[in-house]
Amino acid sequence: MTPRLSRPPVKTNASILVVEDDPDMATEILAGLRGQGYQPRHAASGTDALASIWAEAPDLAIIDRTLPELDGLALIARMQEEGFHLPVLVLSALSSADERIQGLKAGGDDYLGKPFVMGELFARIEALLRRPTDLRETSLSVGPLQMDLIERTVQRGTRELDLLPREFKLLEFMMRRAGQVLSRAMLLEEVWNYRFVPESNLVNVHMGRLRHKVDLPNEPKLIHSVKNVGFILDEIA
Amino acid sequence: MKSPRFLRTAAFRLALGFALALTGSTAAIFTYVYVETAQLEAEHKSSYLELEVRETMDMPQAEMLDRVRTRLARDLRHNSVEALFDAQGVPMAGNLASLPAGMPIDGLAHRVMTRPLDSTEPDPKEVLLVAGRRPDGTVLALGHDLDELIALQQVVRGGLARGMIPAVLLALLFGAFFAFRAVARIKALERTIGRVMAGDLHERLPVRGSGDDLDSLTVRINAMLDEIVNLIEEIRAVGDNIAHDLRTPLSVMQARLERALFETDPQALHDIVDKSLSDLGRTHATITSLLRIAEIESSRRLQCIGEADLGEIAREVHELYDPLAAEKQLDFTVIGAQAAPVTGDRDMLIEALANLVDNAIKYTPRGGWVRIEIAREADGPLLRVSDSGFGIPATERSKVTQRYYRSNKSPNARGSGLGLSLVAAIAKLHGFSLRIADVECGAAVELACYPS
Repeated sequence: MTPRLSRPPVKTNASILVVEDDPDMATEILAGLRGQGYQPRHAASGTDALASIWAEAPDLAIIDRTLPELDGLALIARMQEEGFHLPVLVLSALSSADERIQGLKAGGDDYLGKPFVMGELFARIEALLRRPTDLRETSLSVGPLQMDLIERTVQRGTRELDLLPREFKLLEFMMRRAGQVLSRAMLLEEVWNYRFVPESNLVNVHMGRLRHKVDLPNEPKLIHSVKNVGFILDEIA
Repeated sequence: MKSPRFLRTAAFRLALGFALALTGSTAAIFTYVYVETAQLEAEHKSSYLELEVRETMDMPQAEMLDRVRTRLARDLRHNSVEALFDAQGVPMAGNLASLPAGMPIDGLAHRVMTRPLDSTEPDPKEVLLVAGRRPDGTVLALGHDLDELIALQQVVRGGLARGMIPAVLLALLFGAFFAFRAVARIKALERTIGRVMAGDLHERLPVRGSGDDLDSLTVRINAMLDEIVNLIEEIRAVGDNIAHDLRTPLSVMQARLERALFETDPQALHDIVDKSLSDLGRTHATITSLLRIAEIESSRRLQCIGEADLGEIAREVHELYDPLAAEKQLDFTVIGAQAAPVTGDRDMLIEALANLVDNAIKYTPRGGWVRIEIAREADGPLLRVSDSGFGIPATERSKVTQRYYRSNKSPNARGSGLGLSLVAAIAKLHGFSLRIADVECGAAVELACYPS
């Protein structure tokens, strides 16, 4: 018996409150979320958003920073005052490092600068809805992949994988979030701790190397590319 | 109604306050001097009169009468008082008709109002008087008027007025003078500020060069204006650059999308959308880089200043780019990766080196080499990234750190062309210098990690 990775089930029909004052942007985000199976609701202002949170208790909120009446960060503060602790993704055209830090300090769980690719938004929503496995785990496994976090070894079936430290970190991150789309920016932030995006597509190249070691040509693929967004580690039958 | 402007200036108020303080302190000094002098004079006179009465009363009557008469005869200015009364109070000699009412006969000095018989004035005057009774009942009274004390008082008052009024006037005059000058200078400053606010940002406030407080404030304000102009020009440059570099891809996209309106083949439509999306992605990346450069350039100070180790940074960037170099079959090495501590923001220095290496790998053809070197110069450590690529022609070396410059000799390289300007911005923020080294083949870019 292969022990399955213990991860909380994703609520694919999760309700998501989109607080965005630009009608076109809101329409696109709502359409995209619907396409992913989520149940999005829209609020055009901070006060509408508060009313909606009281009435419907959404699973997650996507909040634009610049809103009429009550701005995004003030809205987050109010939500926390009123005892709502749902995950919050801050969306903003103010994407400099300082603004980002401000957004996260104010209580946002993640911060995405505009413009963004829809796939990136979905990946981040998924990451917020599905919290990673317990960090105290000493071993991880996804399908035939077994990772020993104490010995720092990885096996695919009986085959030992020889990974460089960064590759190990990358694979560990992916195994903790198996079945979840991980964007390149997320990987750069989490695995490399970089806030800048290098011109060349380094994540692809690093992933290429890792993939070479994880998936031999005759084996079923575990690492998959997701067009325009990033990667996913999963057993797909 | 508002008071005239110069009356409200700090200079005039200071002068006014000064004049008031001057008046107060002078009055206090005069009062003190007067009171002390008058008091002393009165006491002196009192004890003298008391002594004289005691002495005279001990004399035989005839001698005493004689004494009173002599005293009276000598008093040419009519300011002494002397009288001798018999037991019934009838005057026997002297210039008093009777003792003033209520005058105690106790041998002590008292201030009383009386009019001596020989007085030149019609009204009674204040007199210091001592009266004593002899065993035979006769009463001797000796005294002196207080005219001298009153005269002293008048002198003091006059002196106070004559001395103080000019001083106060002078203080106010100087105050008004300085106030007028301050108002004139401030009006000149206000006119200039008005012109600056109206949009003439190159106008500067007049500096007199006297180095006074208003002058040094003016100098600071001028420096602030310079800085604001710099910032505005930077922002304008960013705007111009964005407009310049984005118009082209945007027009291409527009043309392509217009064509899509008439396209019926689904595959061709899909291709158009796909191409447009990737163009959009690139324009986003360009905007992001430009904003990042502007962010670095406008942050006047480092946020996470600390100790960074160039050796560690070099190893980290090497690890990051190793797979990319391997893919292009480049020989990618770090030379001299020993510890080389510098003061700076580690993350930004990684970003800078990453950009240099990114460029080097991009502009080096397959099979070449790229090196990161840590060298020591006299003043501090230095990071050098060199490659066997196309190189940078000598004529273009000064231009490459400018925004948007992309060497024409690398047709295959794709990128925003902003890498080096980003590194230049990071270097400038650190006070480091970025140099394009003079090499025979390939390119070598040096980041001297010490204040230049």
